[in-house]
Amino acid sequence: MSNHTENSDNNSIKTKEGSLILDNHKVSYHYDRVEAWENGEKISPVSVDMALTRACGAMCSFCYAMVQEPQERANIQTKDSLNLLDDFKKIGVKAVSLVSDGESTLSKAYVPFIQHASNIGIDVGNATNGWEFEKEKIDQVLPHLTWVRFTVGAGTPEGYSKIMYKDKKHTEVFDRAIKNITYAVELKRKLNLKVTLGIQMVLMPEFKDEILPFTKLALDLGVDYGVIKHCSDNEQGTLGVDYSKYTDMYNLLKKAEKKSTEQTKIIIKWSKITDKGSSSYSRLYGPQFLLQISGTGLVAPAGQFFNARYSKLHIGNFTDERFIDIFNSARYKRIMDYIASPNFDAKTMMGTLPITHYVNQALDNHAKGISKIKPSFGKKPLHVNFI
Amino acid sequence: MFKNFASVKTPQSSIFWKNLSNEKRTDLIKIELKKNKETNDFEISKVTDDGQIILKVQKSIPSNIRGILLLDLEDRIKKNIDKGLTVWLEPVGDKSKLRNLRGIKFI
Repeated sequence: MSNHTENSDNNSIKTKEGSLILDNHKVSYHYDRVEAWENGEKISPVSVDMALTRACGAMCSFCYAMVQEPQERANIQTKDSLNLLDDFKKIGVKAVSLVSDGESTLSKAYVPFIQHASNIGIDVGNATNGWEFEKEKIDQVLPHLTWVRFTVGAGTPEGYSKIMYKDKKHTEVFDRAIKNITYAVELKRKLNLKVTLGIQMVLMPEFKDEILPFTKLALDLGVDYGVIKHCSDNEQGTLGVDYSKYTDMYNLLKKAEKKSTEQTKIIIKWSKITDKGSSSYSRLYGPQFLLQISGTGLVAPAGQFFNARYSKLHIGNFTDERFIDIFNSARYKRIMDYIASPNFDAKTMMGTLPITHYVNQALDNHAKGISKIKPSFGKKPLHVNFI
Repeated sequence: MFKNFASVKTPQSSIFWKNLSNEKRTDLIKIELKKNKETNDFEISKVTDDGQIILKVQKSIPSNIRGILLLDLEDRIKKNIDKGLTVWLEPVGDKSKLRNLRGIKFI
């Protein structure tokens, strides 16, 4: 559907710094793990998506964290988080994205975690509202980050404040975010850093008037990209996302996409948007390649299973025991096997469009023989370890 | 090779289960709960026609225990009652006071 993709096979976008894949997976660049998985071996995740806290000062109306509350909230200490990284390194995790169910910039572990990951050769990315991502913090972490994606719920100050905070009058949160994003863009240019900076709008049908202002904001800020994606919901539809209404926004989204410039790409996650909350797969193979960890320390195959409701899929907590012991445990394998078994149906037992969606889809198509994953050679895309 | 269940259908609750009264369904689940002292005090919050068994647990069960405990229980229920049954716990609502102002309730 996109009109500016570089390669329609993987929906990559050509940027000044390389190919950027946001609307697809990168599993084919980790083919050794695909082969090991297919041979029935236990594999290490290529990437881990996690948070250092479940706390957040925002109240985004699209936030999936509202339905991710587990039984207990452990306080992740800096030492726990550094041990976690050492365990990741030992087992072969290549990248960590600080996204998941909390605002990691609020954690005391935030700066040391990113610096340590970078020092031991693990790529780190971070999604943040940017409110606490101030100059001092940016100076300390930006040179160590592979990407930063700022959650920008809308393009107008009033719309932003209404969607991400109390009401449209509280535009101070917009001002704070823009100030910090602007500084990050300046620092990247000044130091010629490799970090990719983007802003992301999570689109619910009721936000459609914010699509073009968001696009303008991305261009004005001079970030590398502005991405617009669908909103996930749980299987009970708790957040009330009406997927049937996305079709009405296609023309507007195409218009936004055409505003891409050499500096700033406007990217629409068409494949997820056009899936309209449905999935083609029943089995869940993706978590073996892309694991999720809650800001409470809880390890589960997917963020959509953090809530107490899904306790049968809770594997452990890395603040109670070392992650490497969790990974090596029989329970890790049993739970990964369960979600790949007929007893689990992703179409009815979990929410829509999980973070592993692209990977789940690719592995399922591979397993069904619909489309076999082939190894990718040649120049690697940006952020190749964030599959 | 890995066990490829990609195209296998998930078992659905049987006619036997659908025809049972709610009381009878609850009794059958209780029998399975009593078989293990760790699940002895679990309460049944809801059982549905389509085989969802929602349990309520008051005590705190460590995260490294509860997954396997519940999967073992589900295995017993599938084996002894109906292979189309599946076990869940009652959901926990968001503890963020700020986000709760949105009025979202876990259904």
